[in-house]
This record gives sequence, C-alpha cells and structure tokens, in this order.
Amino acid sequence: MADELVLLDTCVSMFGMRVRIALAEKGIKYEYKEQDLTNKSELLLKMNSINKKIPVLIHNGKPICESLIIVQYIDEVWNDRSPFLPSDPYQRAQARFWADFFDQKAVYAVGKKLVTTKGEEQEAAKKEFLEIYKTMERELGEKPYFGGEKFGYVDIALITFYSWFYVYETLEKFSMEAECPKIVAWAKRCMQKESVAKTLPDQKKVYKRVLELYGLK
Amino acid sequence: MEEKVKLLGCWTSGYSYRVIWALKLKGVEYDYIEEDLRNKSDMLLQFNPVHKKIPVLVHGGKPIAESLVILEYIEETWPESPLLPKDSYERALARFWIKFGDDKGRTLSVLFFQAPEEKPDENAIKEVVEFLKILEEKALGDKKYFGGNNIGLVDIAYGWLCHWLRALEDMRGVKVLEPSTLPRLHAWVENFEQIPVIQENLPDYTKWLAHLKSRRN
Repeated sequence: MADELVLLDTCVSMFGMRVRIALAEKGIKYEYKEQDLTNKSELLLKMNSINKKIPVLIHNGKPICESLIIVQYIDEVWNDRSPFLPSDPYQRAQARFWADFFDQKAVYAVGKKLVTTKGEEQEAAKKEFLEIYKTMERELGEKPYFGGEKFGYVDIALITFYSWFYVYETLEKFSMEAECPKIVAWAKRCMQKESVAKTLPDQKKVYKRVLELYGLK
Repeated sequence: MEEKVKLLGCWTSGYSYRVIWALKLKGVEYDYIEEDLRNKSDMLLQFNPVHKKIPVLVHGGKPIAESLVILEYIEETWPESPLLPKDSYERALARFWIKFGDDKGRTLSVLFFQAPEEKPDENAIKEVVEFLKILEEKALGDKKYFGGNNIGLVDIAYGWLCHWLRALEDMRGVKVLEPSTLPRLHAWVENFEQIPVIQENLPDYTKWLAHLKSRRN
C-alpha cells in the first residue's frame, strides 16, 4: 500500500521548512496544503486540536505535530536512507541537545525584537541574537556540518532561519559574515544542497515581506 | 566492562527525579552527586558549560545535559525495560505530550511566584485546569498510565505534577485536581506515586514545600 502523506504548513514558516527539507532529503513524495492561519481550516483544527499550529504531517491519516518531532519521525520511519541523527547514542544526545538549545533560545522572537524595537531593548536583542549564533559557531567548530561530514538533524533545525539573515543585516546594519563567519560559510554550504536550496525562500523576498509584516520603512 | 554512570542532581528539582526514576526503572547503577545550586561545583560548570544546570548525566566521563535529552539517551543505551513505545507513531505522540507538558508547565510557576498576599491569578488557574483537562482526555484517556499498562517516559516527564499540584493547594489555596472533575488524572497521580521506584525516590513533601516557600520569599 502506498504511503499517503499530507503536510499542513505555511510557505513562510521556518518550522515548516524544517519538515520540507527533511522530506526532500529522504526523497519522500507528499501533498502540500498551504494553511491560512487567520482562518484555520477544519483539517488543521482536527489534526492539531491541541495547539492548532503548523506544521502537521499527516501519515496515512495520522497526524504528527511539532517540527523537530516530525523530523525525528521521518528519520525513524524512512531509516533506510540519508540518516539525520547519528547512530551512536552519545552523538545523538549531543544533536538533540543542540537542536533543543537553539529552539529554547527562540531565535525568531529575538530576531523580531531586533528589528522592531529601538534603543536599549534593541541593543539587548542584538547582543542576545549574536550570542546564540556565536555559541552555535563554537559548537560547529571546523566541521563542515553540525552533523559532522554529513548534513543532519541540527543542520535541518538551524538552516531554515538563515533566510532571515539578510533582513537582520540590512535593517540593523551589521554583517553576519563579519560576526559569525563560520556560520555563514556553513549556511552557504547547506544551500548547495538541493533540498535546502529548493525550500528556503529568496532572502530579498523575505526582506520585502518582513517590511510589510512589521510595517517598517 | 560497564562504564561508570554519574548523575549530578538536586533534591528539589523535578528534572533531576526524572533521570533518577529512569535509571532506577532500568536497574542502572550510578553515583549520585547532590549539587548546591547557589554554589555550583567546578564539575557541574565543566560538564554543562552552556546551561550550567542540573541534571547532568555523565557516562564513561562524557556528559549529557537537559533532562529530556538524558531520558532519550538512557532509553537508547539501556533498552531493557523500555520506556518508549516501539512504534514510531506512538513514539512521536509520546514526545509530543512530553513537550506539551514542559511548555505548559511554566504557567503553573506563575501561580507560585506571585506574592503570598496577592489573590491567585484567575487566568493562570483557568489555564492550569484546561491543561489538566487536555491531559486527562487526550493524553491519558482510559489508560492507567500515560505509557499504557506500564509507566513510560511520558509518566516520568509528568511526575512533577504530583508534588506541585499538592503544593498549589497548600501554598495558594488553589485546588485543581479533584476526583469529581478530573477522576482519571487524579487516579493517575495515586497510581504513579504507589509504584515502588517512584515511592522510594520522591523528595519528602514537607521538606520540599518548606524549601519552595523559602525560595519564593
């Protein structure tokens, strides 16, 4: 019986992009259903009645919610190709730790503060933002990917937020390449992968949309 | 030769107990080191430089931090007496409920850290009741434990509810877990606390409550 996969998502969601990259990495076919979060569909409300959020992956009628939980699920079910998590339990724990660290730091919320506030609040947000990425940069070290030689779980968790770098740099006049050169090099390396290049939006398009979204000049 | 296992924990922390319960349920021998969180040891700072928090599991000299990451590591390293389902979908559900609890758990702390003379925050109480209702109806259902007939990681993750809900009543006069309104969840607390490993590894309630009160002042 063929697998039936449906992804409830919004094209701009960095969390949804994680799932799309994961599915692409494994070469899995699925039906994409764009959601309107201002007018949530019955399907979304039924499939994620608890949080009512996207992304939701529906596999043969059964919903899986929360982007990183979905990515782990995809890795476990399609375990015959392109593993995201290492096989060694200690390395797996490290991968889970770093993805959790990144999510705990709520980069999206910090980034929003960075571009929508002024003065001390903005300075604090910028400091926090850079600290998060500098910590990740130290963890990356000299490795090509967070996963080591291969693109993996932590790479998937982080790369989708790269599409906003241009926004932060342009609005706040700093250079991520100057502040976190290894992160930028890592991101460009990830962008060489088809799954990432096809999923991440054009940075200038994101910039235009963010200006509208936050009513900025 | 089995490698040595060490746990850095704190008797007042629910996160610490999660790890203790998992290790004990699996019959894993370990050395326990009580940390004074007002005076963190060099060992803790060395093993968890990122968060500087307990619990930290050290296996063969290698540290793992963050209770949920540790639990998954324990499950993978000592697969006997499994605490997660074998089925990938069921595992995804378990992980979802665990995350749900940790995300919502912060609401409860709002109620605790209000000043004693302040009337308990009505909105926070409503949120807590709703949270417990969802747990009872969607996560627990008619099962004895969240894990089914035997406890699993979800039960372990929610173990903190037992003492905290009692403390909510004693400290703030707020009673949310009544057998009349939440019979199944109420029964779960009783069943959970009666499991020998849990019973033998819970902090003394009176001592713990006193500590909680002093922390708040």
